[in-house]
Amino acid sequence: MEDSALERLAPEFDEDATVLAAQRGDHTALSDLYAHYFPRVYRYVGARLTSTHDSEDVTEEIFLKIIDNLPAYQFRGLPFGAWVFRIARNEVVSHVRRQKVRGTTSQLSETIADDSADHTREVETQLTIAMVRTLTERLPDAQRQVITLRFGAGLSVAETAQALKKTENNVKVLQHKGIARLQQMVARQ
Amino acid sequence: MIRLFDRKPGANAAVLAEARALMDEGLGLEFVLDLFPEDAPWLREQLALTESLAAAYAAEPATFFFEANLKAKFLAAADNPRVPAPAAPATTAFPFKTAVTSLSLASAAAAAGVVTLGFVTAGGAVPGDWNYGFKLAGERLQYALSRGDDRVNVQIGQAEARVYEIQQLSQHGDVSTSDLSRLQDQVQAIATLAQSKPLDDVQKARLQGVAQTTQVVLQDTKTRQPSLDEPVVAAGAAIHAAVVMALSATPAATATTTTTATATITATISPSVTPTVTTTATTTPTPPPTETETPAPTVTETATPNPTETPAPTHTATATETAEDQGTATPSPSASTTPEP
Repeated sequence: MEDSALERLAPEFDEDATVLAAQRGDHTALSDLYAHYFPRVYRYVGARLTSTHDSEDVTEEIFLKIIDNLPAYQFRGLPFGAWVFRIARNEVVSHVRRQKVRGTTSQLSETIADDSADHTREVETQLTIAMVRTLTERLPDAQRQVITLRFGAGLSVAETAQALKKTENNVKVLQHKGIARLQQMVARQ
Repeated sequence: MIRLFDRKPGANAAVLAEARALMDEGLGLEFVLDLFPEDAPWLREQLALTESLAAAYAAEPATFFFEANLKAKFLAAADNPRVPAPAAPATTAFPFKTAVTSLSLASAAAAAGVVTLGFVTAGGAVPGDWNYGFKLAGERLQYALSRGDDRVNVQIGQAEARVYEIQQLSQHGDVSTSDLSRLQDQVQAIATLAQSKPLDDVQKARLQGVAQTTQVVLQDTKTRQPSLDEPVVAAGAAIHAAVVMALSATPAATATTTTTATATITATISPSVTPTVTTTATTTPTPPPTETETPAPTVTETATPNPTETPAPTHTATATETAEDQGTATPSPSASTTPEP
């Protein structure tokens, strides 16, 4: 069987043991945690924020908060991944709030993938990203949270439920409603 | 009627979630759809959309530079956390409510005791003492409750306290830049207050005392803590400037306003009167303007008695006549002389 999307993002690892080692300051464990969560967190943040610059800033802040609070993390029914994405979600929400207060400025993305020489495809990709962001922005907040965690960060339904403090059934329904609504919006366009 | 036989909305959501989970595991779209033949028509579009979403989000990866740079920061921060990690919450749950209540009451009483003790003993506290915060809080309260002159006195008193604190700290070489800036702010506040209301003699004398003591204390600080040389010099200069400003503040602002006010009043009145007099005099020869102007001609004419009339008094040279005509005689010459020329 082909590797799953999450496994492609980061190889499977013993999360509990890695977190314990990371809490003791083991750099290998910290590197593993970083390798496992960086792509997911960055994609989640990128799914919520339009500017690459903002995404990088917020991702950095999230990881520094993770490291600051890591010694205090305890396995008490909340998986480490859900804990990480609660921090990520809070950071994104507070960034969006700050941005609303300051007023938004749209910036062009600086990270169009450069490994392809086909610039038409790059432009199409950028347009698709822009369209997806625009459409998901129109979703109700709860649906948008679920969609970005599920498809932006690649979390499972269970992980999304834990990160958002919701039941799995609730997440399934929100996901279904969000997809159905996006479907209608795409059809209208 | 047909809706009665429809599945619950949650059922479709569950099917979508299950199908999508299978795709997350790496199964292809067609394979997954074969597992849900009844739902394939609507499920196909929704699964395709989720694929597009995931692909769109994944299409913008982070730059290698950013990822590597953040990793370095992440690992460095593990060795030097920005904030101390909060202590793990105590897990010992006390089983008895009464005990918890009494404990909270005892802690509240202890806190009240600490607050009281803090305020009582805060008088001689210096920065770094446990009760220094109480001292500052008390000062803020004192300032907030003061008005007018009293407010300046409070500020001067607090400046004296700051100087005393620096003096105490200086003996142990513990003066910091924040202590200097606190004193600087205090003196600056006095200067600001003095701008609105000049200091009286007693206040000036007290402020001069503060300034002199400050110079001595700062000199001492500079000697004991050479590392603070620059901030001390800067603070000394700023304090000196503020003191000079406070001492030289005079009620100039009020004086200038009054003088300009009177000046403008006279300026406006005098031109406005003269034109009205002249215009009314020329346009209407009615009594009011002529009455006001008449004194001037009569005075001038009587002041220049013409030599041709001198024979008239000599004509009435008898003493009896002049004695009888006193009071009426003075207007008569002027009345008689005006038509004559």
